[in-house]
Amino acid sequence: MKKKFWFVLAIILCVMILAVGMSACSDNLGAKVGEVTIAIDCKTILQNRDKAEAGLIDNKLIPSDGIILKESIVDIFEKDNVLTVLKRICKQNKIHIDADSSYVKAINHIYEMSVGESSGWLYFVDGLQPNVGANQYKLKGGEKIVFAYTCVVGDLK
Amino acid sequence: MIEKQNPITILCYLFFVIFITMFSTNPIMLGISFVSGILLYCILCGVKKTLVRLGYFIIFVAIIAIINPIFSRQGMTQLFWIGEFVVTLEALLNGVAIGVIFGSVIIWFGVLNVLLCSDKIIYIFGKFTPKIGTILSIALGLFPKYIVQYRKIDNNLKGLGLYDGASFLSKVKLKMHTLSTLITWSVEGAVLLSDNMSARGYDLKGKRVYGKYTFGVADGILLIVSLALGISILVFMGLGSGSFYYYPTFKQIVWDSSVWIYFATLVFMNILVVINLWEGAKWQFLKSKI
Repeated sequence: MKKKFWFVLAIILCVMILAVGMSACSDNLGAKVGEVTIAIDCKTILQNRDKAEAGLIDNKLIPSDGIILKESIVDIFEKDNVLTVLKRICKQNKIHIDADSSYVKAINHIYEMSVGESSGWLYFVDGLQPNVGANQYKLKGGEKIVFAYTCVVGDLK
Repeated sequence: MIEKQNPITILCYLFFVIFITMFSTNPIMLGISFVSGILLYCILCGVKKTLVRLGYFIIFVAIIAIINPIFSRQGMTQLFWIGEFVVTLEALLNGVAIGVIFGSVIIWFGVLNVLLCSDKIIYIFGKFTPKIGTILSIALGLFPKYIVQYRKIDNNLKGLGLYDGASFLSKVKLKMHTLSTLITWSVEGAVLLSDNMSARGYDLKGKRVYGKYTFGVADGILLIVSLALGISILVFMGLGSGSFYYYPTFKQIVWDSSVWIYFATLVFMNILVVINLWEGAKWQFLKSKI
């Protein structure tokens, strides 16, 4: 009885690990639609360096000009949204990113709430801040996406 | 000597030790707290009990060290990927540190449990809140009784032969049955106990508690030392001395002025150990050799 129990537990664990692995591998995006430009910056931190966590400054994670990724052109596909584009470009340029299926917690090890309490990542499309999450904004091609770090509410206008 | 020490001094000292352990993230401070706690527990309870406690401690730390990386993707040193998720060294070691904090606090509470038996707790709380003192002493006294009674009931079931050839599920059911019997027994016991206590005048107004503990010079010295060292360590920790972070990667430990806080912690957490060893040495020295 005991042996059976552990055997079943082991099988369940194996299936779970396999399922996680399979879901990660299957990213079929469809045909190419067009191109967008994307940039990542954290210029607001430069004025708020005194508020930044010690770990960010000691490890020199804040670039001196505040630009983590220069404006670059990315191909987009049928099933793409802003978040998948961001994840892909970060993987290509080997920039660290911590995001789940809907929310961007960190880019380049700069986490939300690490430069003051109301700090975090925001995104802009053609200079405007959309009212939907980054995983729900579908792209048509030709848009200009900017991911920017905010330290105080309203400092990105 | 520790047995004769005033309970209030010991409570004050252990309160500061547990507070410092809870608020420190620095691995050196945690290591000092853990080793001193284990040392004191070993002196008070013997090696065998300490080893059992250490075993539980290691299991506990391992569980938290595994759980933390599941929820945390922070950290620069990537170990391996599971699907889309990265496991980092920082998250793993942060889990270990959290586990050590919990484990050390549990060990220090074990020390507190040994040093402050129920009549000492009544002595501490009896003066200003007699009710809380009584409840605490009863509650703390009940755990060992429950464990003994649980074993008795379990052995009875074993003696009846109910465990022979039982499946896993029915064994679990039998354990639940044991637990329910224990609870019924304890409720019955509580009613009897409260009747007994009110018959002895525990709920009368103006009841006082007898305590054989006096406040001597040694108590005064220990109280002042523990207050001064404890408060100063907490204040310097608040000012950022010996601070540490795990993310995005570990802070480099530099041997500057923060060395003093490690040294102070080392001295502070080992006061009772030193007193105990000193008493032991004195006893050996003064023993008659005729």
